[in-house]
Amino acid sequence: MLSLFMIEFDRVLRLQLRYPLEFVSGLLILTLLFYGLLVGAQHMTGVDNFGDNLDGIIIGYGTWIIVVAGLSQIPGDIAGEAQRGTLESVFLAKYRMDSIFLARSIAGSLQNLVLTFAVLLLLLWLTERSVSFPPAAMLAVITTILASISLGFLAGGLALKFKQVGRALVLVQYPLLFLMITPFETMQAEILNLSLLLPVVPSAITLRELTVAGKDLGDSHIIAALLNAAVYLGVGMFFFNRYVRSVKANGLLGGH
Amino acid sequence: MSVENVLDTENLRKSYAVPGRPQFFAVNDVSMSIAPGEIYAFLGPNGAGKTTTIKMVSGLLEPSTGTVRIAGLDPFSDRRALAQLGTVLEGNRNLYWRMTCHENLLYFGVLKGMSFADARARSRALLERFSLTGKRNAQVQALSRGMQQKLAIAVALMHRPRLLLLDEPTLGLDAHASIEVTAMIRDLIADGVSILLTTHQLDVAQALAHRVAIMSSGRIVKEARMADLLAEYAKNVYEIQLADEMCPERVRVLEASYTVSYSNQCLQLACDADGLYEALSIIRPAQVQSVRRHQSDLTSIFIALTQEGAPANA
Repeated sequence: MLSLFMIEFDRVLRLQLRYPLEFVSGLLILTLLFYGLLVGAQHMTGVDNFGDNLDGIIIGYGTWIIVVAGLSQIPGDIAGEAQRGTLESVFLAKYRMDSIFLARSIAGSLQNLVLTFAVLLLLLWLTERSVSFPPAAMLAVITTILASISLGFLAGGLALKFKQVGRALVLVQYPLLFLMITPFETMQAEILNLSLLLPVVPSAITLRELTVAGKDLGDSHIIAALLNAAVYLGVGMFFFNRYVRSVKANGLLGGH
Repeated sequence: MSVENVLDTENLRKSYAVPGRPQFFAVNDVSMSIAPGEIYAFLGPNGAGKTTTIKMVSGLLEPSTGTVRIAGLDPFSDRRALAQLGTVLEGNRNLYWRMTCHENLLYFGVLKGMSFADARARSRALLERFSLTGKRNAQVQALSRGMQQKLAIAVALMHRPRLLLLDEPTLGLDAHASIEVTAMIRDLIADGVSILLTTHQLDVAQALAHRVAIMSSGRIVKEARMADLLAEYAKNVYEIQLADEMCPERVRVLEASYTVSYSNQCLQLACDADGLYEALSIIRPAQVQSVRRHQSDLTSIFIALTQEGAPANA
């Protein structure tokens, strides 16, 4: 498994270095998107200063970038591989499909993490805000990545079965943005507890608690975030494997 | 099934249920085996069921009934079977175009379970063997189609498989590249690799294959050693080239006994082997320069076996 992860990371890194413009364009698009939304919101509400809420919104936006990357990686890979004609070769690997796509997603998420931090730094500089980032926050970043990969497995399974899911994924991104920037931790206990059942939300809450609210790890929702990520990852991989078996039984591999 | 064979399939069937219609069999009762070092040509017109069979052999598509064994292992339940298998499924579309030759070899080698060190060494050896060393760091998209195809075959060979599935390996290649790839495939046999070859280029199949199976409407309608098949379908027509003109009277004697045509000192004679000797005694003392039996080719056999109304299992 380590070799598998290493070769996927190696591939991601080589392509990243070969095509640096993709990183730069991603950085600009994501920064301008947030800035555009912020300016628009200021204009519509007439509020120029969001105060500490803005810190939470920026962290929520960063979480959303991680989630969208995790969500899109597997279905994007499957559609791209099918069009290139390499999907069959990947299916004939020594490793199970869930292992290969887990390794790819982790490698892709690590690459995306660099982009996410760059976007956050740029946004904090542009908005003249600052947040603390204690080492313990990395744990919440990890649970965010794992939980978002679980969504990627679900979407990947759907991509295997229904082929073209790109537009549906775009539609899902906006509710996810709402979920990632909503401060559930400041709401009533019932709403907060229900929100902990939603995918990735406990990780987003924990990240805000650690970076914006300055809470200690023990006082955060890190246990809920860990459980949420583990359960969703298990469920996502289970459904993905079912779809893999289904395409093998029905001859639906390819044709994207 | 023999454990010595690299590939055994028994009674493979793939059926699909179509609402309101009888069950459709894409593949019906296909059995085949491939021995070590053998090239097995698997031929058939479009829609005959070749690709479905190939996908079942490679573990990409579960058969409705029947079994597949690669080196004795079931590719659907034992992933070690896939380590015995190399595939070039659709020409050069088995490669990552933005990656270099070496990166493709390394990536697919590790994906097949090789260590990094082994994959690097094997990549070096294969690039040299396939005359691609100079293109080691070239991106696939910058290679000619012939080079891409050679690289695709090299990628399939990275993990030293015992069985190679080649689907249309010379499709779209120019004459030089086609000859080069054909020669390369022949050389692989020396390494003990067995090859399941599907192609519409029947001259390539005839030049390479030890055995051939011809498929039509989901069934194998003919399976034989290539030499036996060509001999079986060779017509009993002999071409006898003479040194001088034959006297018209002897020609008339021949015409009385045989279906014969004569022109430019050349006789076309339809008869069996015994009849040939009798005909030669009639021709005597005219000087015979050469006697040649009409050769059949795979193309004419293929057309005869796969045209509509041809008998199954001929």
